[in-house]
Amino acid sequence: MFALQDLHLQGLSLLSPELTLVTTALVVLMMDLIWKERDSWRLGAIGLVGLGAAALQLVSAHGTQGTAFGLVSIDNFGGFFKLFTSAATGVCIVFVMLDRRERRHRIGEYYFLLLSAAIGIFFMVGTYNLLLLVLGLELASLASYSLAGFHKGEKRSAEAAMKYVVFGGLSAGVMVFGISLLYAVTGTLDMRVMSGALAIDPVGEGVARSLAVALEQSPGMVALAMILILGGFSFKISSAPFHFWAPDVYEGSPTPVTTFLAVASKAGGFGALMRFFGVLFVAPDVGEMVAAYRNEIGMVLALVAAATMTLGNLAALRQTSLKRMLAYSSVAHAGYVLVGVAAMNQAGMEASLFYLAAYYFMNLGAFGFLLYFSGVTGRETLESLRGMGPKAPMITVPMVIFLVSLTGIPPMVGFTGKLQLLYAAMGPAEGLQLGWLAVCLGLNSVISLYYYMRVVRVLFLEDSDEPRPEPQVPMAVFLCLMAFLTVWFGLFFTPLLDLARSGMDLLT
Amino acid sequence: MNVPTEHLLILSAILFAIGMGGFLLRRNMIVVLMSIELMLNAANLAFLAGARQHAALAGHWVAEGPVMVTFVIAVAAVEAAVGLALVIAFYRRKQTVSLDRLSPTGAASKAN
Amino acid sequence: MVDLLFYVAAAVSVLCALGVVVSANPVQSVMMLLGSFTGIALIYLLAGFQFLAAIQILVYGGAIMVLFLFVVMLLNQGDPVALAREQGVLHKEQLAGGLAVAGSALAVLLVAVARTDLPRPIFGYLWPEGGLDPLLGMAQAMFGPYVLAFEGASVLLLATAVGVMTLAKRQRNKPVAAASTSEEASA
Repeated sequence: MFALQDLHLQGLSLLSPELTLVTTALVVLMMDLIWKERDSWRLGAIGLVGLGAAALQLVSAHGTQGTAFGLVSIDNFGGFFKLFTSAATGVCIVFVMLDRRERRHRIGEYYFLLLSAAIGIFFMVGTYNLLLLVLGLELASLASYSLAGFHKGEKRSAEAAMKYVVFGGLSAGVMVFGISLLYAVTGTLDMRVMSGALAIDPVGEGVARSLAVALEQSPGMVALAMILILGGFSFKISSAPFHFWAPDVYEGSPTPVTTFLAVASKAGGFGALMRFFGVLFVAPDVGEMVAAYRNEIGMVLALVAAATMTLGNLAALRQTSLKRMLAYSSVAHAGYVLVGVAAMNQAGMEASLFYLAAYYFMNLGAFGFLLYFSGVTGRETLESLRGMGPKAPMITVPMVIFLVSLTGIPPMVGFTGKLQLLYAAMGPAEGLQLGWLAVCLGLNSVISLYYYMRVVRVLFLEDSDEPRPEPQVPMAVFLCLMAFLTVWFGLFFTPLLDLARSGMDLLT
Repeated sequence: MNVPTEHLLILSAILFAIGMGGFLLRRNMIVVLMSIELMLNAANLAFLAGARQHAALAGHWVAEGPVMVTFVIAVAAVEAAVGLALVIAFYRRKQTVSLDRLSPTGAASKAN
Repeated sequence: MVDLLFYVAAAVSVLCALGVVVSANPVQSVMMLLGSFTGIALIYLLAGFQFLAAIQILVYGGAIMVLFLFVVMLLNQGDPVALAREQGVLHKEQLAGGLAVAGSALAVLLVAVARTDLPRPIFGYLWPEGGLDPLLGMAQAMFGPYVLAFEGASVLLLATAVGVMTLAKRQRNKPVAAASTSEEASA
């Protein structure tokens, strides 16, 4: 009665990127025990090779559609996030290898946890099943808690990790409770079954009711479930009202970990959020009942977006620490990306994907700059950057490009992205009025101009007799590459736009 | 037991609210972690209330609810393990388990 | 009769949950939590989930509670000095705010649940032979359609084990401590 083919092994080949990452993580852990080196570049190299192999497999699988094990969906939307996640994780590993302060610690576990978090993000962005979504989210979160507390000897790191785990636990509880209410009214954990796109649950028992039916029978429960699930996502993407942990945790964590949290983990959260709301509300074949409900969800998301960007930007104005400023700036950017999701149509989702791609380039670069300077000067304040501009142009000029792009000034990729978000806010789903959100986005960009340009001013227009910082060639190469991509994709954005558009196979 | 599903859901809502209250009111990190466990338990109860409801309607048992509950129990266990490991690391450093959660962390931000 | 038992178990688990939150002594909180979980396990049993009731007792009562108790004892949280230090740290505004948030959350939850209109099963909530979580069926689900999630959980447990070990391990390398103190001095 129980045969081997019941194990659904036929989907295994579709999961090769995930399997590659798991294997790499295990090899790193094992070789760490065999080599017993404190400062091993070889372990980092293994991690990079594994991530590269996973990325190659993802690129070659572009366009493949399929479902592995009834749980993981192979599509371009997931592929987009998986590709950028492996790239960002690779950058974080390079950061660890370049950072002298990190090398004092046992490094094998560091790489292993980074890779585990990446696997968690892979699961989270690639599934329609809420069970696997929770599992992936928890894997990413738990690895991140340990990473945030990796410098446990340092007070800030221990406190950051403590805060992170406490609020992470709260958000997990809130989200799982929301999912449980949704399950109680629909009888399924699969988003496509809820939306009615699939008639038969691939792993369920055929007792499911669609969201439209559930909305009719118990609208209160559905609304509550949506709010609670949004609350859970809100923690992961650090949007209001669960954003206040972010600056403390980002500041207290080791900088490579901050980079991972602010870039890979946040984008992964957006991947899961966009899939959830996209499939349930934006897909073209949702019923009339759900379509009417969609605009209320859109309005809630729009309010969250406006609050997030405003709070993030206003707080960033007051910061004197570069790391904390970048942390608040990344909170504000979560608000920008949400604008596209709040538009609740395909164009909006595309704009969000495009902006997330731009976000990867700009922020990986900005955090690389932070890592270099805090490594050289031992400080993270704006003060310590005074007059550094002309002294290390290969490092500071790229930073200026990132800052300009973060502000959203042409010709950088950040400008192109913001323009699309503005269009998205102008033309949202039928019956949704988001003109005010476009105005809010514009005003916030003006506010952000002030604090981003303050960094440029400190770097180039002020003088100090600090010595020339010691150059670090690999970091300079990396920063120049990121700056090049930021400008290149700002001018020739079609490939990136096509990539974002191809990710919209989610909605068909 | 012939209790309607709504009563199970009400019980789970009460437990969830108590957990949330504990999270907001207590500053002892160990108790805060316990409150999170309570919230996850409330979610489990709601899952099983749903599974029971759907099973009664369909006339046979359904796998999703119970399977999800086993996974949530696993998640709760690892959450507690990592949380308590951090409590120990934190205690070694600060000799306390209470965290002023809403104030900015660390010496660096105070100096600013 | 069985229904009455449900309400008793529900009352016990709610009262114990309240006890977790209001006890000043963490040891008492742990014991209250154990009571609450036992009440919930009894409800699982009454509702027809025998396997999960056993799991609830084994994992929560046997593993998680011991973990909590172990840490409370390790850090000496039950002794009078630690208790005195933890008391009186909560501000009045914080108390009011927390109560307001939790209370309004409860109100919203109850209203939402009260307004739901779930269909009533014709034959009542009876369960088939073997309960609502038969062991064979659970195993087939776990290693059939959900096998990937099962494997994912193993990655989760491995990552947790590694993370917990790095976090709870005592620091041996001195340079870190020295560097961090100099850093604080500079800040």
